Amino acid sequence: MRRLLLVLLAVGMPASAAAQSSQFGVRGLGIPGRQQSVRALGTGGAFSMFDPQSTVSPSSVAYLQGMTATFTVMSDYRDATNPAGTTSLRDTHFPQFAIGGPISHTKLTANFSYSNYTTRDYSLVFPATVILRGVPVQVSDTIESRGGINDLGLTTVFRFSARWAVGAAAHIITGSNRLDISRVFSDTNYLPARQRAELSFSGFGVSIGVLGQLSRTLTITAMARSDGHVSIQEDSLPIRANVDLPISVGGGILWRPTAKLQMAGQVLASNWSGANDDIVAAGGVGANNTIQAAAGLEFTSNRRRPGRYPLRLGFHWGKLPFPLTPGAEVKEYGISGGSGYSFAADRAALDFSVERVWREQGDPYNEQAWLVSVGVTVRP
Amino acid sequence: MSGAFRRRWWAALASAALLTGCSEHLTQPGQCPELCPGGIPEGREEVVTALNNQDSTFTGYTQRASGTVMLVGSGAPTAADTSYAVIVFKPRPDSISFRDTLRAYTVDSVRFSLLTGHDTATRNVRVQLYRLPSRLNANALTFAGISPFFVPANLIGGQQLPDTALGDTVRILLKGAQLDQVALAPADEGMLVVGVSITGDTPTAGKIGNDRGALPPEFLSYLKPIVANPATVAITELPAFNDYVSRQVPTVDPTLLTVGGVPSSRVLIRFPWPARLSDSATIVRATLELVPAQPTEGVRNQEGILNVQGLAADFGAKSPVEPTSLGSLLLPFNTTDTIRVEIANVVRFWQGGLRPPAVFLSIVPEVETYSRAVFRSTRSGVSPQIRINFLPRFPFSEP
Repeated sequence: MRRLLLVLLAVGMPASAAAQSSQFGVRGLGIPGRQQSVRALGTGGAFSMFDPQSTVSPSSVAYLQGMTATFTVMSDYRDATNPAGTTSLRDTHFPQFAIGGPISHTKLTANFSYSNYTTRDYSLVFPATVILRGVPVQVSDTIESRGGINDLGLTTVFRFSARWAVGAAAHIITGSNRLDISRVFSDTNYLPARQRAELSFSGFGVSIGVLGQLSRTLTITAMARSDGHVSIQEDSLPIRANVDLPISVGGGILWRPTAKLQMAGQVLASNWSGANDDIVAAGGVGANNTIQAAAGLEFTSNRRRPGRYPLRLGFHWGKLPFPLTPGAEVKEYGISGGSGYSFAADRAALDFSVERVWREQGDPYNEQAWLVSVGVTVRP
Repeated sequence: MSGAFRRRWWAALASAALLTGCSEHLTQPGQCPELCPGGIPEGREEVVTALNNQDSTFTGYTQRASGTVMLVGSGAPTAADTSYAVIVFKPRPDSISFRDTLRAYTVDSVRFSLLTGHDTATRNVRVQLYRLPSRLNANALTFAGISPFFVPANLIGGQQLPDTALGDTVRILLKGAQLDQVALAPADEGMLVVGVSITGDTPTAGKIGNDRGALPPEFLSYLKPIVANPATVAITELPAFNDYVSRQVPTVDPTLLTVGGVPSSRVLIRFPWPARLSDSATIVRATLELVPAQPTEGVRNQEGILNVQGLAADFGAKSPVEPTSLGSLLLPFNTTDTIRVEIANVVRFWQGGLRPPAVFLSIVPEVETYSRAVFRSTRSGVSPQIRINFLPRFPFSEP
C-alpha cells in the first residue's frame, strides 16, 4: 500500500506541477535555480550545504559514501498575477543531475553535476490594436522563451581528517535560450509573422567550500563562489554582451541533537547587483543583490535505514535578482516537506518533496506555486 | 513474485508515471513594458517605387491560335467592340455508304453544337449563326470583310441562353424549310462556313469553344440515303478552321504598361530593394499598387485574373517565373481606381537575395478573357509601387 501511495503521488505530481518557471524570470537572465536535491528541497534548502547530491557548496560532496547518481524532476502548479490578470500555469523541469563518489585509495571525492543556473521559460500573450495604413487592426503578439543558463560542475573534495574536508569546483556556465515572437492579425491581408533567435551563454566560475564537524552533534560549513561573467551571443552573430555574474558567499550549520533528528540552517548571499549596469545598458530593468535563508529538519524513524520514510520539513525566505520594474524588490518565501524511500539494500531511493512558494513584487505582481519534486538516486 | 522483483516493478512504474505525466502550460497574458523584454514588435511601413524605365510591356507570349475559345461579343468589352466567330466545317461528302454501296442522300435535319460561356448580367443573350460564303479566304479574315454577311437574310438560326448559366452547350436543330439556309451547292464542295454572333438586351460578350477545346463545334447531319426503306445516317463534321475577328484591335502604347489582350501582353517591373528589408525583417504585407491609365476592360462575370509573379532569374522579357511566388486578383473591369494586388508571398523571396526584385504581370487565362488593363508607368509620371508593412528584427538580446 505504501508503494502504491508513492506511485500515486508520482502520477499526480506532473498534473499539479510547476517548477522554476516564473514571471519573475522574464526579465534579466531569468529566475535563478536552487541547485538543490530533492532531499534538500524537502527541508526548504536548509540542508543543501550538507547534502552531497546538491551542488550549492562543493564541500558537501565529502558525504558521498560510494558512487551515487541522482536525477531530479521538478514540476509545479502556479497562479501568476499581473495587471493583465491571473493565470494558472504548469510545467516540468529537470533541474538537477549529479554523479560522483570517492576515488579509491585516496582521500578525494569527485562529483560531476548538471544543474539549472537560471531559467527563462515563459510564454506571454499581448493583444493590442495597432494602426496600419491608417486603419486600426487587431493583433495578438506572443513572446515565448525556453531554456536558460546551465551549470556544469566538476567538484573535488579532499578529506583532511574524519571531521574536516575542503572542496573546490570548476563551473562551466553554458546553455541556450530559444526565443520566439509571433504576431497574428485580425485582417487576413496581413500574414502571420514569426521571428526566432537563440541566445547562447558561456562563462566559467569557481567555487570553494569547507566543511567541519566541530563536535559529535555540530557541523558547520562555508562556501564562496565566483562566476565571473557570462557572454551572450545571439545566433551566429559576434558576441554582443557580457553580463557580470555574482560572487556568492554562504554558510550553514547542522545540529544533530539526537540520533534520529537533524536540524540545519543556512544563509547564502549573492551580489547580483554587479550585473545591474550590464543589464541596464542592454535595455533591461536591472538587478539586485540577493540573500537566501533557510531552516529545516529531518527526522529519521529508522536509524538503520535512514532513507526509509524520513520526515523533512523546512522553510526558506529570500530575494530574487531581477525585478520587473526599476527599483523594485522581488521576494520569495516558502514552506516545504518531504520524505523518501530507499530500497534494493539502499542502493536505490526515491525522494519526494512538496513546497508551497510565494513570490511577490508588490501589488499587482505576485504568484503562488506548488513545487513538487521527485528525485531518483542510484548507488550501483 | 520475489521482493526484489516487486521493488523493481514499483520503481519502474513510478518512473513511467513521472515521465508520461509531464505536461506544460506556460502561456499567460502579459503586461508591457514590465513583462516585455525587448518591447513589443514594432510595425513599420515602406513604399518601394519601380526603378525608372525598368517597367515595360512585352507582347506576344500567347497567340490567339493557342486559345481554346473564341471571343465573340457585341458592344463589349467597349462600346466600339464587336467580334464575330467564323467556323469552316470540314467538307461533308456528297454520298454516303449505305448497305455497302455509296449512295446519294437527302438531308433530314442538321444540328449545330457550340460550347458557350456568357455574361449572366445581360438578359436575353442569343447565340446566332449566319451563313457565310464557302469561298471565304480564311487566311485574310477581317471584320470589315465578313460583317456584311451578319444580316437577317443569312441567319441560319439561333438560341437564347439561360440567363443564369455561366456556360452552356448550344444545340441548334434545323429541319424542313430551315435547311435551305445550310443547303450545300456543288460550288460549295461540301464546305459549310458559319459566322457566330452573340447579342443581348445590352452590350455583352461571350466565349465560343473552338477545336482546341474539349468540346469543339459540331456540324451534325442526319441523312437519308436515296434507296428503298432508307435508314437515317448521322455524319459529324468538325471545324477545319475557326477563328474570330474584332472591330478594333487595341494597340500597345510603349509609354504605358499593358497587360492582357490578344495576343497577350505582360509587364515586367523591376524594383529597388532596400537593405532594411533584408532577411532580418519580417514582411507581413506587401501591396502592389498600379494606377490605370484608362478604365480597365472586361466583361461582367468573366473577369480575368491579374497574376503577379516573381522571377526566378532576371533575363528580361524571357525571364522564368518562380512558380510558388504569386499574387493574384480578379481584375475588376471599367474602373480607374488604383489596382492593388497583395504580393507578400512574392517579395518574401527577395529578402534573401536569391531572387531578383522584379515581377511579371499577366492576365490569365491568356487570350481567353476580355480583361485587359493599361497602367501608368515611370515614363508617364505615376510609377508602380509596392507598399510594404514589416516587422524589423526583434531585439531578442535585450534582457
